Amino acid sequence: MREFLGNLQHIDRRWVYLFVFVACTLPFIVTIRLPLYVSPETKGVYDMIEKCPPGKVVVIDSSWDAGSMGENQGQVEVVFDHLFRRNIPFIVTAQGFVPTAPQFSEKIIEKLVRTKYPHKKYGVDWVNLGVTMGLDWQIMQQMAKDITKQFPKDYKQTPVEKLPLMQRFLNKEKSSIEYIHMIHAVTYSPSENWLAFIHGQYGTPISFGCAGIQSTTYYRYISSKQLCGMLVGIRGAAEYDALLNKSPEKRWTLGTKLIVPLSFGYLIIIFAIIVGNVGFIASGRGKRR
Amino acid sequence: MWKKRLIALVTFLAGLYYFLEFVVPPTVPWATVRGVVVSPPTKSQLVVKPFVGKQFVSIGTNEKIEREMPDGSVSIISPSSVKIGDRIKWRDKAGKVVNIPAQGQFVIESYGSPRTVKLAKNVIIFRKSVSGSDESVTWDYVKQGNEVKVGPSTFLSQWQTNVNDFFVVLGSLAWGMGLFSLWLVHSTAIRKRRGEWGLSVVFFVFVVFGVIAGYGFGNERVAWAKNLNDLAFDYMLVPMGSTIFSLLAFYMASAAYRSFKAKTNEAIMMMLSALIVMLGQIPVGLWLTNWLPPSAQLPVVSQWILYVINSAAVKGMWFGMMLGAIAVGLRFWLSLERGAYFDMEL
Repeated sequence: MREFLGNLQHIDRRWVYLFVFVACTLPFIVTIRLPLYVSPETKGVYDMIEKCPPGKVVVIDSSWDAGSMGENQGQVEVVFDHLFRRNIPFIVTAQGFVPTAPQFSEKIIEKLVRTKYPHKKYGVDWVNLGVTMGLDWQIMQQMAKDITKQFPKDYKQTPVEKLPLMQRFLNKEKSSIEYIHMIHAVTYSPSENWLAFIHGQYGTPISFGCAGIQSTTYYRYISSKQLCGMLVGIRGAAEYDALLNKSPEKRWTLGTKLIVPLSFGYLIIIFAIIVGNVGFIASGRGKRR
Repeated sequence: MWKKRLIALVTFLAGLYYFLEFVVPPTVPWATVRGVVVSPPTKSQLVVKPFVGKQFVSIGTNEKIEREMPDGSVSIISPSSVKIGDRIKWRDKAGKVVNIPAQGQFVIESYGSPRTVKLAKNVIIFRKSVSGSDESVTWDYVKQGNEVKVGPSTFLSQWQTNVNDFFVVLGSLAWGMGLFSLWLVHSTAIRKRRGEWGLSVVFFVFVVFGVIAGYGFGNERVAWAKNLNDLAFDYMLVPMGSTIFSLLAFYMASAAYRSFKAKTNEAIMMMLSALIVMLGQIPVGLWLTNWLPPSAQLPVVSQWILYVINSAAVKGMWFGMMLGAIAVGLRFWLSLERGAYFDMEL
């Protein structure tokens, strides 16, 4: 028996791979529903968007691509849905070496418009300003001062002067940041410079959408109220979807689709850790520490 | 040797610039005027009502005060709503609140007689935004009623954009060098028919394909380009990118199985907290502990670990890392760093 248990720490890794594969695939074949706890960081983002006063816009810095699509896509889907539902105009930007980022956001918005909000118009209800490169804090400062200088054209190369939503920013009496209610920065690991150069200088609320593994470094900013909220990986997107749609049947985003497979994947990891440790202790190596 | 000395000199000068830019104010303090713009500005001059001496004002709680916003708009408020930094006007007294010693009592910086500030080339204007921060603007962004700070530049801040652009140029050069290096490696592999040279051909084919497909992004007028872009994006880039990234799940599970062992007390603590946090992050955690009081449910305990224990640990870690970064930064700045690169003959 002891020998059998000891051997548990030498299971071929291909078995682990198989278990992960089965666990992550099963929920796509069989519908499984689990209760969802809405965390304060997700609620923070939702509440801040709800507070958006008329005349202001929300900026979504959606700087992610295929690599982190699993976690980030759901985080922008829910926010776009919320903004459309509340008739809050929004601007999508991207920065850094993510040339395909505007395409990802635009595909999501196009799908939303096609399926749920056919009356929404590009240039009036939303604008996608494409991607810009440079030092992130310099871009942020320029966006705050005059967003039309940092992004003179949208992703289709249309000059911003021709986009009705951007007209307000052409008025030089106020800085661009004064028309922006909040900034939701979504990428694998959002830059903390948003907090120093935008929230710190102008007080504009900032929220993040990040990969689950990166979130641990950002919780301190929620405690200090520098971040108004955060969508953490797939969980954040699923929780936000639950806030938007009380009925589980109406939830549609990638976060909702992936939260059960993610749960099963986590369970396999937990199971693997326990099995590995049972083997470790049974083989007597645990006593020699 | 001269190359090393040149690099050391450029590094030192760059560091010195950023240090001075941080320490030295953006405008010459004794020649800077702080106040409110009283007439529409022109390209050549700004008429400013400057803040001068301090004055004590006591206002009854039932009185009404005019509050001027940084953008020039005016609102009527009660004394209890006044905050430090507000510009107020009450009877013949007007100015900026710098202190509120007690309710209804204010120390204000009152206005002096208007002054004309000539807008020479080296003059910088800082406009106070609604959120209270100063931002550098040109004269055409300023309007009557704005709170401004105007003065001759100390030049350091003005050069910041140019200095930072130099970084962007260097970064772009690095990308260009990367592409050039890839081209050299793969073209050599094809020319010399090295092993797997076929993959180098694939590399060139896909670079050309990517450039052509990229032309179709946002280009509604050219149908074939748009279709090609959709093909590259939806059926190649997205599935391939996601596949590579999702491989992590398999490796992570395998790594956790093999390495996460309860070898020490610290490892046991870490394992327990990891199990709680992992279960708390997924709906299964709530499903398992739904019967417990809310404060003992796994998601709540997990949140506590993340917000309290994790935040404290991360803050401590970052504090240490930043101290280390300062030390390493100083070594780089003064070219004291030694190691593989720094000891190499250039």
